[in-house]
Amino acid sequence: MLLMLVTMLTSCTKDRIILPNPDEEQASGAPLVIVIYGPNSLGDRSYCDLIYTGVERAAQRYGLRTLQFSPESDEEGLAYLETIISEMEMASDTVRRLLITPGVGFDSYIRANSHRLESNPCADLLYMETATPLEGKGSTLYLTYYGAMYMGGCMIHYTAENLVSLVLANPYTLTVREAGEGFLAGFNDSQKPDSLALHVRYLSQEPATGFTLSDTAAMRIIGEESTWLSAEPTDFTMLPICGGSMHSLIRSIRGTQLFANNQYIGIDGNMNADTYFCPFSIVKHIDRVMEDYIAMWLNGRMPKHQTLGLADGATGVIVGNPYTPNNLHLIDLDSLWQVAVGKEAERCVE
Amino acid sequence: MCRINRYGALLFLLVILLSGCHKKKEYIYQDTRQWVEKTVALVAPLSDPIMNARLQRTADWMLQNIHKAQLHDNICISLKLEWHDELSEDMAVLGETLSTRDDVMAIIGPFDNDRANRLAPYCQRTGKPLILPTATSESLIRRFAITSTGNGQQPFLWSLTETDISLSEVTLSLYATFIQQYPGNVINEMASHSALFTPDNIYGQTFFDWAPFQATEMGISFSISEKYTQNTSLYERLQSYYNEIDNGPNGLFIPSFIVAENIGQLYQIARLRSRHWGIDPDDPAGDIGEGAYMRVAWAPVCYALSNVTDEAIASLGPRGVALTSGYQGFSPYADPTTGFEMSYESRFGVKPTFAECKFYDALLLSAFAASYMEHHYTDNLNNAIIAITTTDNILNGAAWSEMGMELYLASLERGKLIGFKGACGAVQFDKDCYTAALNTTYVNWIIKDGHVLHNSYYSSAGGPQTSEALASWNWLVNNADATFDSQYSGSSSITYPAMTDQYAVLVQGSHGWSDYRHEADVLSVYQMLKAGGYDDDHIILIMADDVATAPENSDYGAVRTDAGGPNLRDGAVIDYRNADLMPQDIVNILQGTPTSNTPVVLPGDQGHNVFLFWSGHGRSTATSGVNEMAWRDQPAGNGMTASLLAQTLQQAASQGRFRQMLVCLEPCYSSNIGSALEGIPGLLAICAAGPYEQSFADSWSNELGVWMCDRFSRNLVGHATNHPYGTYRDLYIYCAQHTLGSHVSIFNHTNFGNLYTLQTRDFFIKE
Repeated sequence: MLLMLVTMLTSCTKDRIILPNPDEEQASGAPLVIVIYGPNSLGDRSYCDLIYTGVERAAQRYGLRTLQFSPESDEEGLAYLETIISEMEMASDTVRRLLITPGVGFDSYIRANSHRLESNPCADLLYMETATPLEGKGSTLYLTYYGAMYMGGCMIHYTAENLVSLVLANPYTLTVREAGEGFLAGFNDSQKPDSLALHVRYLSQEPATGFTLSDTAAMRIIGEESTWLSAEPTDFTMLPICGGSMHSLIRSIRGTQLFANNQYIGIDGNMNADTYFCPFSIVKHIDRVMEDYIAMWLNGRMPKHQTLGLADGATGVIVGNPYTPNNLHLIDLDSLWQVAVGKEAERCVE
Repeated sequence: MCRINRYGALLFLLVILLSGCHKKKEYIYQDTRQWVEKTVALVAPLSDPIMNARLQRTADWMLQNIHKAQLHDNICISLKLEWHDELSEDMAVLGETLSTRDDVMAIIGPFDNDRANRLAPYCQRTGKPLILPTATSESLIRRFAITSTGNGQQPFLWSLTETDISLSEVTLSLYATFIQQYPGNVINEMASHSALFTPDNIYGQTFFDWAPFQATEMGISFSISEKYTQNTSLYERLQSYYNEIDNGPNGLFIPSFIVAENIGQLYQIARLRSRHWGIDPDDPAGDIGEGAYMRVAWAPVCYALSNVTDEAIASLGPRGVALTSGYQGFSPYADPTTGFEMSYESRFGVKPTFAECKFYDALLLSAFAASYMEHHYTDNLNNAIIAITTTDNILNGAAWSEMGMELYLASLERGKLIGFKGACGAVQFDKDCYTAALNTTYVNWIIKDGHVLHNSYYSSAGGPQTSEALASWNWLVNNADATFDSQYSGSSSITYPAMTDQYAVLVQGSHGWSDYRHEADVLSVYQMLKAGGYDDDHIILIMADDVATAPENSDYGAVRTDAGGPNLRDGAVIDYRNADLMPQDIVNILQGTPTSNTPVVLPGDQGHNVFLFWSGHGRSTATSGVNEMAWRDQPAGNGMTASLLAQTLQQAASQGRFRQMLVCLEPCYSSNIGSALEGIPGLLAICAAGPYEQSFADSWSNELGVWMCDRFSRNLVGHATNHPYGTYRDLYIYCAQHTLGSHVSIFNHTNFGNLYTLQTRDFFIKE
């Protein structure tokens, strides 16, 4: 009897079944967008920051979760990529995940590993800044700057005096090269008769370099440009197509404000805030493009590859407020836009 | 029957058990995670509707993120926020209450430096964690966060922003870059006519103290360095400043620096500037073109101003929006690489303020430290903060977002201790004194059409923010030898008669409890000389003698330069209380003229070496209209002026009253006095501070509530004691390297002798 009692008591204890509270709040299963930028590129106040903003806006609009990494080196970026791709490859849940990377330095890794995502139907990849589609899983996106830069090349005849200083990071990076060519084409096609000189300078002769510049070096360059035409300092307008190096150059130009009327053209983002120095900006609307792309991804309609440009509204020109007199009012910007769209289309066909 | 009853009872028991068991078989639903509530008191400017709205929404956002981030964890923190208005509540009462409440885990705020300074002592008393998002006053941080921690003391104040020493440097360095591009006469004029205006409070004090020092490093001199107590006094002074520089050939190029406290000041200054250059501030025609250029670019103003908001600009009205457009300045801010600024802007449509960025990190720090406490079974939040903010192992990627928090907290739950990047960057404190932030980003903002835009971001050198690291401000640390060699290598030998005796005159010019350090310094020098062989017949000691027995002195009867150091008052023979003298009496003592008031005077002889040491306060023409060492409470002009001292010592030299004289001056701006002594034969002056610089206090005492010594005097005594055979070169370099915040200078070396070979023992050791 006693044994029976003990048994019953024991079994009674074992029969107490504790279950998770079904009403307990569960962790989110919302789609996740992960962005891995190139080394030290987030916070650039132009291209990468626009991507970040676009992703965050999309997250707000569609209730997504985001995780955005800004590695400090190529090695760290590759380690992030490997970790994220492994997790996406192995994930057994149904959470949708999109990996976005605008880091051109990851090209060979992305091309070698994108196929690993094929095992997970909920995982996807958007690789930017390349005109060459991926063979494995994932989409590619390229923004051509040729048309917008063409417009800028024409417009600068109406804002600059004496000298235009075209500063390019290096002669090899595709986006830089194309932008420089577009600007030069527009500069040379301009119908405005003037004696505006053009000086092209490369910050580096090595591929994928020239994107960082110390303030000291920037000051030296500003000094050299101001005396490029003559021994006496001469005002100039700079177009800095050189990534993060741009900020050092712009800071130095601002430093000359009391002694010269040097100007710069804003690149990627709208930099017209300081309109004494920046008559217009040549911009990429990559924030809007990112919002659109994420919407397409959510709807399962993200294209395998796209090249977007002036005609698509992905690039453009923003004119600053007329704090400093210029002659931009003499240009029919709509007509110029149409010409530039045509030039960009011709180039894409080529 | 009995047997039946027994079985019946058993059967009944069985039924009961089975029934009970049946009930217990019901499924029990339990939460998988445990939420631990922690109360954090927030002391914020809630009466300011703009800041109130912004801080509330920032807090809501953070709480939402941290809640979601913990839904994978077992132990979760629920922060309960208790809001207090720092603008309306009494900080003393609030400090007394909050610091003793067991249910309050930590206090975040106040956001204002002066109010933080009033609340901090209460937290110090109880060790209540006090997280200050935006307190940047150097004296506040040094007093509560640096000097009162380390050496086993319990830290309690966690300052998330570097002091305004860094902001001051960033603001000035932009100008230095500008100057370096344009050498020439124009620059020379600019460099010697710039002006600095700071508010007369604990916030403005940091700029007032440090900017002149940093400007000297960068080749800028401030012709004006002034504190303003009211806006009207600032505007009036600015007007007269513009009138002054207009008279120079390059007045329009000369920039000034204004430490402002609100956007309204910028608006009023814009109106003043418009009027000054002939533009009607109420006429929109002047808002663009030449009028706008003149208002902004002529005699440009660089502002240090934090928390500028679009809403505050809009509140100025249409003219305010128009006239503030184009103005720019600097503020502490968030590292743009964390993405916080952009996420905030995407969410709320405007940029976050400095206060919100740091507030978010303060909440984050509280939550993470609380989580650490729960996972490591400790109940000391201060220790938890130390643990998570002093590790070198930093989680890459910002941990302020929902996903970032999730990663960080998952690591904590797995027992992995790592550091983290918050909204503003890495949340790290130095490993020695713990409580000083190591990373701060600064933003160069500009207003355009009513909106705050960001031009550039700056950061400090990134070294540890300990008193050791403060040495990085002083280029002499690295260049002292070379600088000395370049300036003084031409020192030649001067032939003196044989030294027959040595005397010292030690003077404290100040008085009162708050000037404890000046009395300690003069006694410290006195004890050094006594240890070096001087007797009291060879030392004339003049001091207030009012701190040893002051009612505030909890160490009654003692005067020390360090807590636990020797009682310097012991055995001191005081010749004069300074309350009984005036500067003219000091003149009589130095010139050997006995009077009824000064029976003990310096005997004069051409074989005597005389050491004159002076501690106390200083005044300069830039701040008070006169270069002098202040005498007690006497008004400006009634102290020991540069000209009076020069005249006195020149006459003594002419009369052959000394062989050599070493003059060591501790007060602020003392270089103005030292330079006045140039040309006097046999005299060498070593001064603690440059012509525009403060001379800094050192060693704060929590117990006494006063600074216990000055840095210069500490270094002077320390080096002379430890290096009795050192040369003047050795002494100078040591003082220059270790007297942080001011430039120690030497004057009149060409009339004194070879600083490489002459030894300081001729004054400090009596044989």
